[in-house]
Amino acid sequence: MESFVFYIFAFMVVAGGWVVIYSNNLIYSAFSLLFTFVGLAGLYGLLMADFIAATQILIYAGGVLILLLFGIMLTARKTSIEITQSNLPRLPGAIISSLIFLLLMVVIFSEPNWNSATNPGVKETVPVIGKLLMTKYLIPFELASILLLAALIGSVFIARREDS
Amino acid sequence: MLPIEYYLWFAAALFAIGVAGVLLRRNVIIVFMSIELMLNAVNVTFIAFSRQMNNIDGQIFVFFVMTLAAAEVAVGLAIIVAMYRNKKSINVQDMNLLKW
Amino acid sequence: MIDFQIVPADFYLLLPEMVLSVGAMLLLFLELFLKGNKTVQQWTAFAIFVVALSLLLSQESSGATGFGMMVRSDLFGQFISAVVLIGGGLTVLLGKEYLVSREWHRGEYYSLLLFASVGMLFMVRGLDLLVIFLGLELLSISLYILVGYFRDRLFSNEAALKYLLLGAFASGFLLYGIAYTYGSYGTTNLNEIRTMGSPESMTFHWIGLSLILVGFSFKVALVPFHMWLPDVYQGAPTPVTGFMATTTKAAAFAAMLRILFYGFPADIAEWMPLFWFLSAVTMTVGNVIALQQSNLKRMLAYSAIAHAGYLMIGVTVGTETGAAGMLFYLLGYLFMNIGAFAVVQYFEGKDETRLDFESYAGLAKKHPLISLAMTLFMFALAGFPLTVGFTGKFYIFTTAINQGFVWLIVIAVLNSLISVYYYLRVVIYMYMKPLEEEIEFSPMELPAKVALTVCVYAVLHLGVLPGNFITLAREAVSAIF
Repeated sequence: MESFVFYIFAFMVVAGGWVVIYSNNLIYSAFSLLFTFVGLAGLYGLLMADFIAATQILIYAGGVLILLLFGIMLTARKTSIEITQSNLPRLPGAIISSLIFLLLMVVIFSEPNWNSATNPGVKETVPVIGKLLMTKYLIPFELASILLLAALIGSVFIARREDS
Repeated sequence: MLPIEYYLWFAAALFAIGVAGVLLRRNVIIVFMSIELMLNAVNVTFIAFSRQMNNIDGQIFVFFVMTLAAAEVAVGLAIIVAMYRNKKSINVQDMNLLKW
Repeated sequence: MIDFQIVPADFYLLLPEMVLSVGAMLLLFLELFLKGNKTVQQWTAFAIFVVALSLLLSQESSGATGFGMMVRSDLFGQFISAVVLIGGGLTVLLGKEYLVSREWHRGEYYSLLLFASVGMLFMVRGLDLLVIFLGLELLSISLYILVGYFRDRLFSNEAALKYLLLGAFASGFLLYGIAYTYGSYGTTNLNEIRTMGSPESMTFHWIGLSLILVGFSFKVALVPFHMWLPDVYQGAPTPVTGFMATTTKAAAFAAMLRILFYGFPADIAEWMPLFWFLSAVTMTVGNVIALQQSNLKRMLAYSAIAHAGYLMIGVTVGTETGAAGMLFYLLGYLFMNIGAFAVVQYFEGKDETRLDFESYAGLAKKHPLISLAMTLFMFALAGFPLTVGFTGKFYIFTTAINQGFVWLIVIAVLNSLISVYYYLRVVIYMYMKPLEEEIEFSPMELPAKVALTVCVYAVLHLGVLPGNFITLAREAVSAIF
């Protein structure tokens, strides 16, 4: 049963990811990205990371994706000035990414018995995460807030229209 | 629970798709999406390890990766919007002022 | 399950970072109330940097950790943090003229410089991969915006976008590496990793470390991960380029040193051939391409790549003296490069048209002092004696030779000889060629003059009397070994 669910979600994610990079239509890409994000949330649920699964939906599907859609709408209008970059030619790019994939496969295959102990997992993650964020991870937490502040100031500054 | 390898393989595949997207696609917004795929692959890896080791620290890391992803997309789209605004008034032909 | 206490000493440890971040927000508030004359902002920002630096230097460098081993106050962190804060202060002094002449003098500039410095301080003082990573991202995001600071210029937009895309790409690799490191050690804390010694899974450890190195190679621009650098350096406002080239390099190399030498001391010797290769390729590619540049900013960008190659020698050697050489060189590089960019920014004119070698023809007659300063910086970058470029290189090279890296040093010396050609070209244009057109430059303002003088003095002082600082660098690196 568990493996069945895993395969469904994994297929959803990988197929979605493939469409994202393969499709020529930006809107298709954006919507298949939605499938990817939701499928990932399902996998997190399967791994007993309920808090992260919820955050995944909230931040990625609710935030990042909406931002990307705004970006598409604001830039790809009928004049269709595509903001592009000249990239690597097809072949080297494909070779590099498949090499990375193969390398990782080999690495993961070479560790079949790594830490195969079964454990029950943490049942309720929210209280534990909350406590950790306020104690051990206080500094990263504060640092992340500064990071968000800088990003906020910066994006407002960059995207603002010239006030003459 | 499924063996952790399943999740690691899956994450590796997703990461490779993301890398391929960054290296192969020309549209900047697609490149952004591909980077999101890479970061999500990282998150899966973290959570799989965290589950396997019964250690919640990995999940905390994911939390921060999400923060970063949101911040990066916000700044990136701000730059794209500014760029679009400037391009409208400029000849489309001389788009790549800087060689990529 | 969580035994953890936060004591006041922890906050004392982070005072410099707190002053910087509060200062950054304060400057944004000032922006609301200040109209017209914004010199106040420049001085406020400068004062914040000075206060943070003095707080930093007044701290004990006993290697105390704070906030549950998230940050560590040691001489190593202090040394590089001081480099970062001095660089930030100099950039504040230099930036105003440049921005005012382009009608872009805003509080956000200083605010983002301060945020970037906060990120760098966390990066070099962090003891957990999470803190190092978040510091790196805070730094990167602030810099993406600073690179795209002239939001109405396509040139600046493109540079920022390119930097952001490749920076985020690199972050993906770095994070994936951290994930595998976490998988093999069960923690991301460098202290725990160090005490653990051997990982649970050697292959995961191996892939994790190599992905982390790919991420850092992007950030310090080692060949073949250097593609972003020239365009970004060229497209960014010149003061920002100077800031990026020096402080970011210092912070990224410091974080790399801390991760490698403190967290994974057993791996240095094993990875030596790779470092050797990266170092040799980086300096050669950087120097050879720099030879063909006609744009001064671009030439300095390739020279920055070449210098990353020289610095990698210190990592290749893998001993305390090698790392000390890197620290000393990073300190010297701060002054010679910020100085060089200060001169470039003075001469480049409002529309950035005067950046090629030809526009430097005959400038020595009209601007003898600034030309002399530029000559000094070029000599220093090329590694002439009596400048810090020479002492720094000499120290790194002799250490490497003592450890038996003769061929690497042969390559490095050949590279230094090549580099003399393009650095001296600037000097030759300034002194030997006739003046082509009469251009009036408005006289340099006092803050910029002060900054330039400081750079000149430091380049000479560190070149002639490096003793104290080399000792300091050696003490500093002993904290991470």
